[in-house]
Amino acid sequence: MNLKKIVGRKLSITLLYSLPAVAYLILFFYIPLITIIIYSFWHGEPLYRITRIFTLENYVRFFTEELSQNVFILTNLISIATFLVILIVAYPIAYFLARMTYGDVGLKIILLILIPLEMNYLIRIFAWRNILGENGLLNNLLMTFGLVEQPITIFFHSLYAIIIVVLHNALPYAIIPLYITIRSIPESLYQAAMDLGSNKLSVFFRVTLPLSMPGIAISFLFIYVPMMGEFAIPALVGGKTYMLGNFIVRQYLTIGNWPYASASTMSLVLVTLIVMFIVFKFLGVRRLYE
Amino acid sequence: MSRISLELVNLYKYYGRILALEDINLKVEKGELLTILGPSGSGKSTLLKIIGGFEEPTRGEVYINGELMNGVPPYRRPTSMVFQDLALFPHLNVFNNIAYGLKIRKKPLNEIRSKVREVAELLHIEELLDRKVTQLSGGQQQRVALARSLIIEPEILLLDEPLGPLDVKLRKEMQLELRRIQRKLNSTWVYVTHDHEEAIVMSDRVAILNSGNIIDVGTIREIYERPKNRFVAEFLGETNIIECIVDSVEDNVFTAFCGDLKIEGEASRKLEKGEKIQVMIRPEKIKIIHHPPPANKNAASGKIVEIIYKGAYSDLKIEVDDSKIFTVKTFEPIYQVGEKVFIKWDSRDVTVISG
Repeated sequence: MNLKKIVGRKLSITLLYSLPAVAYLILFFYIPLITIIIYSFWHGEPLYRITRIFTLENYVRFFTEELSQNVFILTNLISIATFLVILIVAYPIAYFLARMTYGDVGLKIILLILIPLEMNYLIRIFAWRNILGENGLLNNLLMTFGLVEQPITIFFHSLYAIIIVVLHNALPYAIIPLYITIRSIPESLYQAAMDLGSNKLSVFFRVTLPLSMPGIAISFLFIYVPMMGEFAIPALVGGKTYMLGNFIVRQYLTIGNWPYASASTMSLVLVTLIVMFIVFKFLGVRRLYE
Repeated sequence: MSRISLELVNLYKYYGRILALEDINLKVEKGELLTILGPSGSGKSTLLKIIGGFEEPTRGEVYINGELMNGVPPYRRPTSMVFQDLALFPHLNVFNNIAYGLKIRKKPLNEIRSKVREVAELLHIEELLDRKVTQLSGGQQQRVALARSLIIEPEILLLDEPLGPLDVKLRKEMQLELRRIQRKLNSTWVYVTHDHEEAIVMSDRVAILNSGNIIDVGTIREIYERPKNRFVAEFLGETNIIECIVDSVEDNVFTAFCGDLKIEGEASRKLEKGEKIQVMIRPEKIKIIHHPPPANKNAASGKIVEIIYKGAYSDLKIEVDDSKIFTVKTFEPIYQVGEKVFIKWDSRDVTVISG
């Protein structure tokens, strides 16, 4: 048998194996995505009235109208704030697991942190409603111990509630990459830094932190990207907080301006891609797998 | 001002119940290069870590320049270590790696620049300052690690098998280069290695470490020619060790019977008639002759049973009358297996190593 035939057969087998996955992606990912892209360039009005003519007006509107601008900026601020809160909580945990535990104890503890995440996403959010709500666990406890007279409301239907719930949901996604990067820093680097005159604080800022940047970058992406498109958490515990996800859902389902909703979606995708590109390019993520 | 740079007094180190170092006493003079030589697992790296402050001794004291160092963290000790894996900072370039210690000490930038340049020139790496450390070859990384330690002018430089990963040729070059730098700076170095040839080339003095004990300390020549015991003798290179019984001792010269052989040598310590001893003769001290030797002592006849070709020289295994095997080094590749030869040695080259 000649080489061409062998290669040809190999190729056809590979194609056969990849067929289900490719079919799935084409049906449920690429076709919807392309549909959204096409819609975003059409003219639309509320209540599903669509004119099929090419226009850029939806994009222009998204980036120039005050409402969408504000929602866009707010969503970014919330996403970044959430990331920072999670980082502050996750870093010490990851650091402890990576440096103070032996063998795979750290991984086992991470597994324990992961298990609650197997529970359905919406159920978890509802659980938090029961904890943070006006008649929830938190307020009951506070009132039982006489710490407050009236139920406090800042932890429910507020920005804080969003951050608390996301913190719970996304913590492992920050801990795991941080654990891996901190764990991969050789002990001798800390010793070398101390040997050359660094005290413990200086070792942290000059060695540990710069070398865990790839882990920080990955956890940023793990948290920032889904947070930009989040709509369930703000809708269920966020009160008046109105994020980009909610904005897009409203345009699709309530107002019914599909072309504008599609353009908003594509703008979101575009911005997220740009942020990802910047993070990958400048924060040394590539070092992780080199 | 004392001339002693480093002094270890009655040092013990336990890991749990495992004894890693036992009653270590050691003095290192200023400007001296002391090698700690021992097989793997002998505790030499532990000893170095205790000097550097990365491990605390279970018992005993560490003095540097006469000051007690127990409990002093590494960043307050006047020592610097070149690590086995070099431990260069991968996120910093060569310049910033070398400048690290000076930046921590908040030196002005122009001083840092000129000092980095100075030390880089000493180590011939001035061309590499802008490179990433991951782009360097093993030998270059070696130099950067050394520069990074030398720039803070440590009282004692500790080197933990730094030449391990290099190939033989490069290692030999670096050994000479390190020696040159140490002599030039006239600073105190403690050098850990398991390679006896490296220790021979590099050191002023050697401390032989085995399973947590210092067995012998002295200049390399003293130890090579007059090792304290069989372990030291064999660790420093191939040797012939013969069991003998002392026959007579006269004016510091002893005669002993070792099977059919009669050996005469200097009695380095008091020997009794009838005492069982081990004597050592290095392979390079034995000469091959073609005619029967005139005297019947310090000589033997035998048959070549094996020739191990080593390039510049060959090791001959010679079986003497009563089935003893002697190793003899020769630079003349003229012998053949099975050939009958005579060997002799000088009484000066006979060393008593134990009783």
